[in-house]
Amino acid sequence: MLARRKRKGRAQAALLAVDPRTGEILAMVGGRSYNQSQYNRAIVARRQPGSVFKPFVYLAAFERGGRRRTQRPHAGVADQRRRPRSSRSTTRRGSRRTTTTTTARSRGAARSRCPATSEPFTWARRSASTRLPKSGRRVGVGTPPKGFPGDHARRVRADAARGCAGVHAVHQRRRGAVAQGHRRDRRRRAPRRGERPAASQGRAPRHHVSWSPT
Amino acid sequence: MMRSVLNEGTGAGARAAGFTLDAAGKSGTTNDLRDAWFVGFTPELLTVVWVGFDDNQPVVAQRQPGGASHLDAVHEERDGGAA
Repeated sequence: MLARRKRKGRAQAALLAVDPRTGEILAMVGGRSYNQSQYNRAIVARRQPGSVFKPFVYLAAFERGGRRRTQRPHAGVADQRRRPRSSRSTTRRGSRRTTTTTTARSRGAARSRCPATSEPFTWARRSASTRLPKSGRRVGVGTPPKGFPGDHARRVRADAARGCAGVHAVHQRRRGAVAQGHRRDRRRRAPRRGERPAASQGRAPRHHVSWSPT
Repeated sequence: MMRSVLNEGTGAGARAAGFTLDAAGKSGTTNDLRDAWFVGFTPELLTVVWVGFDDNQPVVAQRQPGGASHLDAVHEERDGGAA
């Protein structure tokens, strides 16, 4: 396994041990060796949480009171097997005759909008989108959005819009505003010859994501 | 649900190593295994572990089926370093 590695450097690690009853920090490890690096990865580093963040999304969804109907988890699959790849139905209403063609893709699109057949985390994410900042702050999740060293504002903003910034999920509520900012930037046309550029052109895009401390 | 992470999921190695307390956990990784997280807790203790590179490079070149390859790699590296 070591031979398959891309690089020979040794991975860093950080550890934090907490008493869940009181919140006291019992132990903290900031890296492999203090002699080699004094950077405390346990409290200073900003890294993407990955799936570790999912329980907080579920928490926000449950606090919001969302309910997922789970009575027909495989209804969509069975439905797809039973039906042909494409079906055509004709209905006659009065003198009008309407022909509707249903494909597997259109049926899948209809299913994806149905909470009963959507993937659980997708449901939770949609349900929690408005509640997540409040729930996150209540349990102490969230830090000022900073990229890793060398990052710049545009990349941080793009990451936030895509949903992969280190702490973006706490700021889900602002994601729509960030995406709108992107669309506005795209629509802005280049200045014509002899025309003065707009006041905001040529500047770095504004960083829409901000942190509001509790 | 989170107990099953330790009993039969990514953290099953802890049970194999003789850890018998009632515990639960959640693992997480980011794209290309640039970060590997594990949060495990019992009623008395909660630990968070992160493994990765400072320059955001992937921890393991190729992801192995089973999902615990990064932990295996860390263990191997630790054992090799200690020897």
